[in-house]
Amino acid sequence: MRNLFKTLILLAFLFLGLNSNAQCKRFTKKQCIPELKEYTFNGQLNTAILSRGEDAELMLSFYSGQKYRMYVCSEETLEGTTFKILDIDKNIIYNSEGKESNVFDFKVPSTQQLIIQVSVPGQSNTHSLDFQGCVSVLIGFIED
Amino acid sequence: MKSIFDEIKESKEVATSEENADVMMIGNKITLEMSDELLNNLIEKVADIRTEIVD
Amino acid sequence: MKKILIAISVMLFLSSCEDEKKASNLEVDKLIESNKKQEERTEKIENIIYNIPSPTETVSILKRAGAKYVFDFPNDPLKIDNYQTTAQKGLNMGVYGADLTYATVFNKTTETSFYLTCVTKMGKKLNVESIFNESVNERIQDNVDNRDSMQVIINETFWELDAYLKEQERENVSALIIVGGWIESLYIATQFVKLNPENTEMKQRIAEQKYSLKNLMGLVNSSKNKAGMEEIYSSL
Repeated sequence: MRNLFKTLILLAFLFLGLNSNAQCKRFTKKQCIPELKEYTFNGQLNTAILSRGEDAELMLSFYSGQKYRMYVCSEETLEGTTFKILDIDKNIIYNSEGKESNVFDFKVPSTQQLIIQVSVPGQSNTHSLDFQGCVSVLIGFIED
Repeated sequence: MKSIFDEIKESKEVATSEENADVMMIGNKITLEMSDELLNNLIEKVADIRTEIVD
Repeated sequence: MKKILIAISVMLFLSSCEDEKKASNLEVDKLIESNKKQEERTEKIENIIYNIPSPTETVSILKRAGAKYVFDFPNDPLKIDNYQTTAQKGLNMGVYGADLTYATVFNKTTETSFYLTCVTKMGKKLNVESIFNESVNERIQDNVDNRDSMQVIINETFWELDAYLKEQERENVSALIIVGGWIESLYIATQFVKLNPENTEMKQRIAEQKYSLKNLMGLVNSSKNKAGMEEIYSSL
């Protein structure tokens, strides 16, 4: 009986893990990638399943001589998700808070690494699936 | 552990953030300097690693 | 130098063996324990994500810096049958993917077809043939003369591949593909500058790869491939 219980828990874990990844993939493909429009999607997979109150951090490098479109795309359950862009010394150089959308077009004067901090508002103790969702950070590029 | 890339000299100017008619420019102005010796060394190392992978 | 491949092979074998063992190992306690470890690792990867520009972006940058298509640079398509271990298959999937991009960006339609065949074949060898299916092949064949559409299709297909591998908990293979693609792009750039030492813009683009190497180290440190990447890092 004990083993059966453990097996069921294990199967539930595996199923939830696979299911949320697949769901995140479908969501990103349908809802997020099309928003890059004339920018060429760079093919990077930057996705995370987050709960309310959780943060994710990305370290990406960007080339000079290109224009970029960054889109931080989150599921409805994570309404209010914002992001900040920091330089390598952790100085904030862009904050999406108070902006109309999570789409940001920019370029860099020199090739460099930038840090993207994604924040989902709310209490961090709500680990219910109702408060979980997918966040995708998409990058598109175009010749400047 | 130090890599060839760590030996590339890097100088950074204060972060600039300017908005122009096109799109916003964000981030630092960074200048990289790589000596010919370093580059030649890198060419050789990359070719070695690549040979290991494909052969 | 053999150490690099050996180390990468070891980390990959460890992981692929784990996959294979799953079916035969019926001890639930062990499975739950390994699942816990998997959960911890996934959490790490999901909350701190490292990534590097795709070969499409890098090759486009190199083209603007004056690179040309040199037929000797890409890997020989006939070597595909030599790759048997998971490490060899993963790394060379990245290599052929970058070569496919190189041919596409320079509008070399015959070479594009060769490398497309390689990537599709390697997909079968890596058990990810569902990604390189009929509809993707049809899309590619219909657009083989259209460079921009081809870049979009290749990027989307490699994105699908990455997502699929992560769904299957094969992050190690995904990391190897990224490493292979990065090495091949850097190889093309360094070989070009060897032939054209006066090209300062190309030198600059090569120097800039120091940032990608840092991110690549972060990516590999997040998964289980640390040992192999440290070998590459120390070699460079």
